[in-house]
Amino acid sequence: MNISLDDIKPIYLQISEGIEDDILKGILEEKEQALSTNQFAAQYQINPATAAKGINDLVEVGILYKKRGLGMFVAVGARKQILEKRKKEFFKVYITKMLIEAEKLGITKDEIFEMIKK
Amino acid sequence: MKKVMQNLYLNFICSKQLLILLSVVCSIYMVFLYLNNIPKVLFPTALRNLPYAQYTQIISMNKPSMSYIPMLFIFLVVITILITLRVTENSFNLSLSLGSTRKDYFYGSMFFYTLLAAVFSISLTILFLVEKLILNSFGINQLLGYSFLSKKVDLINLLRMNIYVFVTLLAGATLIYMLSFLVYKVGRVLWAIIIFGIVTIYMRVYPYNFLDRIINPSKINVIIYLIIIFVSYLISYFVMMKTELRN
Amino acid sequence: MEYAVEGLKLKKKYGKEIALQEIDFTLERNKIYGLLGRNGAGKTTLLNIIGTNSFQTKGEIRVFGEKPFENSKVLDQICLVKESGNYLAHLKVQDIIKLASKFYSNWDNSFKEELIIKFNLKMNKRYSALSKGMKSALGIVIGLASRAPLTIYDEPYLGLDATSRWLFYDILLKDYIENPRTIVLSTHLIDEVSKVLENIIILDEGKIILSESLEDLRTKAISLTGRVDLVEEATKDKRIINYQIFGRSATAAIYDNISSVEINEWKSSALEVKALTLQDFFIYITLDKKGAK
Repeated sequence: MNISLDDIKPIYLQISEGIEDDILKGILEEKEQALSTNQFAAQYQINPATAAKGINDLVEVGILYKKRGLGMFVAVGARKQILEKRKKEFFKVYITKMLIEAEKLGITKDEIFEMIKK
Repeated sequence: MKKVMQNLYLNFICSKQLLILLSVVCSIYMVFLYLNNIPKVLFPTALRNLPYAQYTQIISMNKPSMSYIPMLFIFLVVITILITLRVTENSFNLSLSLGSTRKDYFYGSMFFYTLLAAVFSISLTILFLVEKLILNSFGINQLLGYSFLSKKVDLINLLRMNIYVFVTLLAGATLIYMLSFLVYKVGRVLWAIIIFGIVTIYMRVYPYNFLDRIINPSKINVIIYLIIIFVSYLISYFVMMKTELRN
Repeated sequence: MEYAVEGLKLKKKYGKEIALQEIDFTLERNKIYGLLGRNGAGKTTLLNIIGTNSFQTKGEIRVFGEKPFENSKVLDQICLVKESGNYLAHLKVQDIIKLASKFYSNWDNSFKEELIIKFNLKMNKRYSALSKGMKSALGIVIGLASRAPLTIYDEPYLGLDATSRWLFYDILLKDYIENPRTIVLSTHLIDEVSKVLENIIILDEGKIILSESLEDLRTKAISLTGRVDLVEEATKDKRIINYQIFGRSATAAIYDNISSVEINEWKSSALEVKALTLQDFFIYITLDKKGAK
């Protein structure tokens, strides 16, 4: 996970998305233990408050959960949850971006369909 | 109380290096003096060329007396002044940087200089007795009753000598302590003014030997010293409360 | 919950020169603050006043709810690591550390032992014989081992090599996580330190021009790059703190309230939207005196 200081995305969001990526990639499996806030902060050398926000956001939507005394764990069904969310965003972010770039370059929608078919 | 002791320790650490250096130099010189001059006293032909003759008064050729303790006293005054000069600014800075209050620093350093004067004066008394033993073993008398030296070797007189030495040293230390703080607050220029002022005043008031005035006991001396001690500490305290640290 | 430090209309004058101009601020407990400012902005002055090494000309300062002047209880909780230390010149490193261990009642000896090894301190050397980097390392070790509830590092890096700086952030953070305390870092190495900071305060010419959390700041400090007219349109009612034109493209650095709607708009209108790094933001905000384009 790389934390970029000049990315417009807030750091806590980079963290939660980074963890989501790890879950999607299979680096973190369901029911497996994830880094706690403090471990995370120490490892990536970031302020614990920021790390906490990123991780707690995931706890709130149910992707991570806390087992008292043991730490943070990946919830069952987390992967599916993330996939759904990402699919929605995919259209918003990538497709829109592609269309803007296409417009910049003067590529028509038909040309795009052709490219995709290939 | 704990903080005061910490400051005492701090002052000690700050002065350790200089203290050891000056003590060693002083000791070596004293030993040298004795080694050099005891033989000269034993062999009268060399008497006339004895250095520091005013500190080793010869009473008669048959039974010579000497003592280098006055010399040692002067050394101790100088050492005390040098240490105070060097240590004050540094220890103040260090102590406050480590989070001490000015009050605790003041009491701690007050304690330190009192201890210093006490240790020096007691050492001097002990060395006085040691000197007596050494000189007597060579058949030389120890010079007694001259200047501040004890008239007889008994408890009361030794105590008197000790106290006089103690008060003198403490007066020197506190005076320099106060001056150090004034200079710290006002600026180094003050030193030039002070030294110039002291020398001029002194030359007028006491045209004869400066050191004699200090080490010869008299009631006025002791009173002046006590006043100096009291006033210096008072002024130091109030100046210190208003002093900011400099870098 | 009481604040760690409170400053009320603090003013500091040196003769005719005003070093601090009636500033008000609070520092919350157990957070890591960055104190930024150009040389001569008043950072060291402010920190010295907090530690009572200096006195304010006017105004009030409170630490942990009490006035720190001649207050042994409060002063014991403050550790101020300063940039220079001429008064230490003739002391040996081990003596300095021994004194520090006596003066700070929260001192942790085993932590100190660890730190001496990690930062490679030479215990027997005299302070004046240490390199600049070693002097800084000593200050850092004292600050860390003091475990003082308010620990202030005033430009602790002079001459410290990159590895040691990395070690410092690492140890600082790990220790803060396990033993929370209020930490203030005053430094010129802004980007390096920004990851570990939670809040920042920027001093400029004796005034506080900014005091917020880094999180909040990142939503407000943004750079837009794109075609000149697009940039102008996007930034027309925003506070611009830096503006550069390269031919027909422009980059505008803005500091203002910005909604996510606006951000999405900009992104979709062929503008490159980035967050300003803390250092760039700092440079622009301290250069920008009038607050307008």
